Amino acid sequence: MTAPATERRAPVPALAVAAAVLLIAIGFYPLPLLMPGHAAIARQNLYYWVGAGTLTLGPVLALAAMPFAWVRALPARAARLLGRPGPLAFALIVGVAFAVLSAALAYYAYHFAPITEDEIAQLWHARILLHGRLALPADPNFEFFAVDNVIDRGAWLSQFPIGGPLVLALGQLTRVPWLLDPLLGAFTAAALYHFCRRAFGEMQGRAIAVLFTLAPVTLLMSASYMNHVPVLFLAMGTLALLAEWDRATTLRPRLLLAGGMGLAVGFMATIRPLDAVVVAACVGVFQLAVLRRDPGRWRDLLLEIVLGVVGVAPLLYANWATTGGVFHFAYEVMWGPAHRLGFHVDPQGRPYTPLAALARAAKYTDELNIFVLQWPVPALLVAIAGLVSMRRTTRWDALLLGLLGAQLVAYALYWHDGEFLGPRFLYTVMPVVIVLVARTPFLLADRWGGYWRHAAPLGALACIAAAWLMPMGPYGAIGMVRQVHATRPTFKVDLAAATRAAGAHHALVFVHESFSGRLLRRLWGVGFTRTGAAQAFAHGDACSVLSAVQQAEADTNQSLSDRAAFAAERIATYAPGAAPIRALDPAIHISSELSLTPDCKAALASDARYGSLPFGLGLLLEPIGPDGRLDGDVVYAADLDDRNDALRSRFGDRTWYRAWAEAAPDGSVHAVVARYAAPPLDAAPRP
Amino acid sequence: MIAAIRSWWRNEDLPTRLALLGIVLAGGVARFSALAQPMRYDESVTYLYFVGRSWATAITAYPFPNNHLLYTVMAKLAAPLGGGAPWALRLPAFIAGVAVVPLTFAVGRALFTRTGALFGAALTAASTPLILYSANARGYAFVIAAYLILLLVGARVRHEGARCCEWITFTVVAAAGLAAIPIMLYPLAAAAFWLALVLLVDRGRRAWRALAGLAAAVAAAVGLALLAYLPIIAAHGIGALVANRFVQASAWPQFFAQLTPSLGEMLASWAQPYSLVVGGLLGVAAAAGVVRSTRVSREGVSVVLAAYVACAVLLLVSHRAPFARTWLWALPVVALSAGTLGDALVAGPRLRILTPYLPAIATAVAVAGVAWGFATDALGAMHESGTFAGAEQVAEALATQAQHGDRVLAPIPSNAPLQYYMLRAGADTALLSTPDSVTTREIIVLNAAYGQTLSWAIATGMVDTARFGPIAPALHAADGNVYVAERRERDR
Repeated sequence: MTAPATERRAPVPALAVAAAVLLIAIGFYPLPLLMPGHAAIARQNLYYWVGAGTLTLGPVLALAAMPFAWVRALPARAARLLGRPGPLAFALIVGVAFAVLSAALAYYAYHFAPITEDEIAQLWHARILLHGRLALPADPNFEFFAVDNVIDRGAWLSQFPIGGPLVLALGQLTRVPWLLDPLLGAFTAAALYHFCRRAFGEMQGRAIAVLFTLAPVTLLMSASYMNHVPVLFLAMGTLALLAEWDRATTLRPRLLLAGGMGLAVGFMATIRPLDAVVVAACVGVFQLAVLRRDPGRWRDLLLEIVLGVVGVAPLLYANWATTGGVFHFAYEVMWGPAHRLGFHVDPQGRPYTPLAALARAAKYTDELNIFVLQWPVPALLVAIAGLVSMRRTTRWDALLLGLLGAQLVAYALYWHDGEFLGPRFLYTVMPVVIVLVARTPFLLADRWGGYWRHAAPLGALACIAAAWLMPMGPYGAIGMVRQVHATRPTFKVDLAAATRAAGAHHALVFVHESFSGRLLRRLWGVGFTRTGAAQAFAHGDACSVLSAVQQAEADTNQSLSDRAAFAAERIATYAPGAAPIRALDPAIHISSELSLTPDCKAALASDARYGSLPFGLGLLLEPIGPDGRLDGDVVYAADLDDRNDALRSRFGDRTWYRAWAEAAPDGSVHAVVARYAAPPLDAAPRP
Repeated sequence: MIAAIRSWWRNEDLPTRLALLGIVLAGGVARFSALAQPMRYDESVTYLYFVGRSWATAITAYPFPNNHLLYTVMAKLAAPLGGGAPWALRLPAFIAGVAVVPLTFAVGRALFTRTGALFGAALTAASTPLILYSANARGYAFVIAAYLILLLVGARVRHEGARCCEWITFTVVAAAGLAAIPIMLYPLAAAAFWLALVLLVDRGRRAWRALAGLAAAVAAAVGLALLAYLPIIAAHGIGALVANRFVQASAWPQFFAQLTPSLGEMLASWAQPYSLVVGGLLGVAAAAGVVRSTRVSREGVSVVLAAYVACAVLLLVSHRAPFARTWLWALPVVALSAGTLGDALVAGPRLRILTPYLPAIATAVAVAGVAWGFATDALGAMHESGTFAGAEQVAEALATQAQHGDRVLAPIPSNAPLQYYMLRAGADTALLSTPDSVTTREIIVLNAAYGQTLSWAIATGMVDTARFGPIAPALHAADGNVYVAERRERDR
C-alpha cells in the first residue's frame, strides 16, 4: 500500500530540514570546496559512488520494482529474524558478534600491535601506571628513548590525559590487552541498542545495533588501542542511562541512573576531556528540558554533577601530580599554550583561522560519507534522505543532532587534523550517523509507503552486502580492512621474538629508525622542542643538521637551550642545486653532493643496509627497574649512529645488538636482531 | 514466420500501418544518406586489416577487437558489389540498421503499447547514433537487431510456450550476435535474464522446464559462437578474445573513474540529434516510462530494468568499463520506454482528443527528428568512432602529387581513413611508412576536428622542425589541413 497522499505531503519538521540543509552545505556543497586539494578527492569519490551505486544499489532497487513476492517479502523475513530473540539475548548476540569480529580484525589488520604514536605513547604510560607511578623520572639520555607524544624532560609520561593509559593498564593486567577494546566495542553496541530501542522503538533499535556492528570504522577502531573506544563506550553508556532516567518515575532508580551518568561523563573527561564537555553539554540541555517538565528531578542532577566531579577527579589529581596544576594538561607541557582550542598560531607555526576551521569541519563531515560505513552511496546522502522523510522529530532526534553538531564545532576549533580510519575526532558521534542511516529505510517506508516499504530495507541490505562482500579495494569495508592490514607493516613485527631468537641477554638493542627519525631525536637531544625540531629539520639540509647536532652534542657544558640555539645557528637551509641528493628516506633533503660529510654518508649507508623499525616497539618492551629507571635483562634504545657511544658509560657492560626490519621475498616484513656493528660505508643498497 | 508477420500486419489498423511505413521510410532515408558519409577510423581499420585481406586473414586475424567476425564475412561478401566502395562495405550494417526500426516497433507492440511502439520506433528512426552505426562497416547494427529479435522470441516463448523452433531461433540469433561482436554478451544476458524473470513471474515453480530450455539455448549460442571464433582461437589462443587489453579487468578505482564518464558519454550520445535539453526531457520520459512499466508493460517485468540488472552484474564481474557505444543495443527499448509517455499524455481529459492522431504525431516526430538531424548535420558533428571528412580529397591529391621520398604523417584518427581512400585512389600507401632515412619531404596531415594544429604537431614531436622546414600549407580539405616540409639541406 502506498502511503495516503496526505501523509506523503505532511510537512518535514523544521529541525530535520535544518539538519539536512546543514549536512548538505557542510558535507557536499559548497563548504567542501574550501578544502585544499578537494577537487581531485571529490571527483574520485563521486566516480566511486556513481559507479558502485549504479552497479550495486541500483540493481537491487530495480529488482524490488519487479513482481517477485519472495523479493518483496525479504525485508519482512529479515525483520522477523531480527525480532526473534528477546532484548537481552539480542544485546548479547550483537555484543558477541561485535567482539568476535573486532578481535578478528585486531589480529588480521593490526597483528595485535599498536600502529600509531598515540597508541604507543598511551601503552607506555599504561606500563608506567602499572609500575605504580604516574610518571617515571626522566632518562638522562632521553633522546635514545623518546617517542612522539611522550614527555621525556623533567618527567617521563605521555601527553595524554590519564584515563586512556588507565584503561590500557586494565587491559595489560589481563595479559590480553588487545581484547579490551573489542569488548568495550561490544558493550558500546549493546548500550547503543538499548538507547535506540528506548528512543526509536525495538525494531529500529535492532537495525541500528546491527549496522553499528557492521560498520567497518567501529570494528577497526575497536580493534586498535586508541582512546576513542572507551570514550565511545562511556558516551553510549551515558545515552543508555539517560533513556532509562527519562523513563524512571521513582527517586531511587533515578538517582542511581543520574549518578551513573555523572560517573560516566566524569570518566570520559579523564580520557578525552573535549568529548566529555560536548556530551555533558548536550545531555545537560536535554536534562534541563526534562527538569522544566518535572522540577522534582533537581536532586538527580545535583548527584550527577557531584559524581561527575568524582569521576573526573583522577584526571585532576594526575594533572596536579605531574604538571603542577589541576587544569594544566600534559598536552600543554608538550606543545605549549598554542595547543589550546580556538584561532591562533598553532604549535607548528601556522595560523589557524576561522576559514581553516570551516574547511576542517567540511573535511571531517565529507569524510563521514565514506569512512563510517563504506557503502556504495554517501552515508550522509542516505541520512539526508531519512531526515527529509521524517514526519515528526522527537527530543531524541534533537539530542543526537545536537551531539553531532557540537562535536563538529568543538573539533573544528582544534588546530590538529586528526586522521585515523577517517575523521577520528568525530568517532564519538559516528553512531549518530549510523542511527540516521539505519533509520532511513523506516522513515522512507513510513512517509512514502508502497514500493519503499520493501525497496528501502532491500537497498540498505544491498549496501551492507556491497561493502562487505564486494572486494572493490580500496573501496568498501573489505578495501578498508585490507588497507589497514597493509599499513605500517614495521609496527606489526614481533621485536621481542626476534630478540629472543638472537639469544640476547644482558643486552642493549639499538632499534634502527630512518635517518630522518634519527636526526629528529638528536635535535630533541640537544634541546629542540618537538615542533622546533620538526621545523629545523623540514627547512634544513640534512647533512648540515647532522653536523650541527654533532657539534652541539660535543659541548656538554652548555644548557639544553643554549645547545639548541648553538645548533640552530649552524644548520644550513636546504637549497636544492642542479643535482640534489636523493636518499632512501624521502624525508631527507640534501642540497648537493657538497653537503655530504663522511658521517652523513655513513648515515645514508646505514639506511641502505638496515630497514627502518619504529623505536616505539622497543619502548613497549623496556624493563622498568624498582627506582623507575630503565633496568632489566634487555634494554632497547634508538640507534643514533655515532651518538650511540654516549651510552657506553651506562650500558657498556652489556652486549650490544642492532634491530632492523627486513622484507621477505613474499613482501612480509620481519624484525632482525644481530650483534651490533658499525655500518660499512660501502654497504650495498637494499633491494 | 511470413504468415505470422502477415497476420500481424493485417491486425494493425490503417493509421498505424501508414505511420509505421512513414517512420521506417524516414529512418531508411536517414540511414541511406548516411551511407555516403566519409569512412570513419574504425571501419577503415576493419577494411584495411580484415575485409580487404584474404579470407584466411579475415577469419583468423584478431590483433585487436576490431574484427567483428560475422560482419567481416558479410562485408567481404558485399564488397564486390561496389568494388570496395564505402556503401558496399556498409551494406550489411545498413540492412540491419534499417530493420532495427520496424523491429523496435514490433518489440514495442509485443512488450509495451501501440503508442509506445510508434513513438519508440519514431525516436529510433531519427536517433543519430543508431543512424551512424547503420552506416558504419562494423557489427553494432547486428547486435542491436539481434537483441530486438531475442526479445521478440522471448515474447513468443511467453505467449505461445517454449517450442523447439523458438529456442533454435534464440540460439542462432544469439550466436550470430556473439559472432558479430563479443559484446553481444551484454544484450544476450539482458534478454535471457528478462525472459527468465518473465517465466518465473508467469509460471512460478513450473517455469523450470522453460528455464532449462533457456539455459540450454544460451549455452548452445555460446558454443556456436566459439565455433565461429575457432580459427581465431586456434591461431592466437582464447586470450585474444577474452584477455585482450580492451577487455582485461581494470583496478577498481580506474574502473569507476572510467565508468562514470563513459555513462555520461553514452547519455549525451543517446540524446542526439536533439539538444541536451530535449534529450534530457526524453531521458526523464524514459525514466518515467520505466517507473510506470509495471502498469504499461504487458510482461510485468520491465525489459529496461532487467537489462540494467543483468548488465550491472556483468560489469561488476568484469570490472572493465566498455566504450559508450557498447550500450547502443539498449537504446531502442529505452526509446520505447520514453514512447509510453504518449499513453500518459492522452490519458488526461484535455489531451484525450489527440488519441486518433497519435500515429500521425509519431510519424511527424520521426520525420521532424530526421529533418532536424539533417539540418544540424548531427551525423557529421558526431565524432564517434573517429572521423576524417577530408580523407578522400587528401588521398586524391596524394595520388597525383606525391613524389618518391615523400612521407605522409597522419596521426589517429586520420591515418586509417586516409589509407583506405589512398588505396581507392590508387595512391601508394607506402608513403605512410617511408623510412626516415630516405624521406626528402614530409606531408603533414592534420585533423582540425580533433584540435590538431601545426603548433600541436611541433609540440608533440610529430614534426621535427630542426630537420624539416620551412613548413608550408599545401591543401585544405573539410576538416583536414595538409602541410609540406622539405628536409633541410644540412640534414641531407
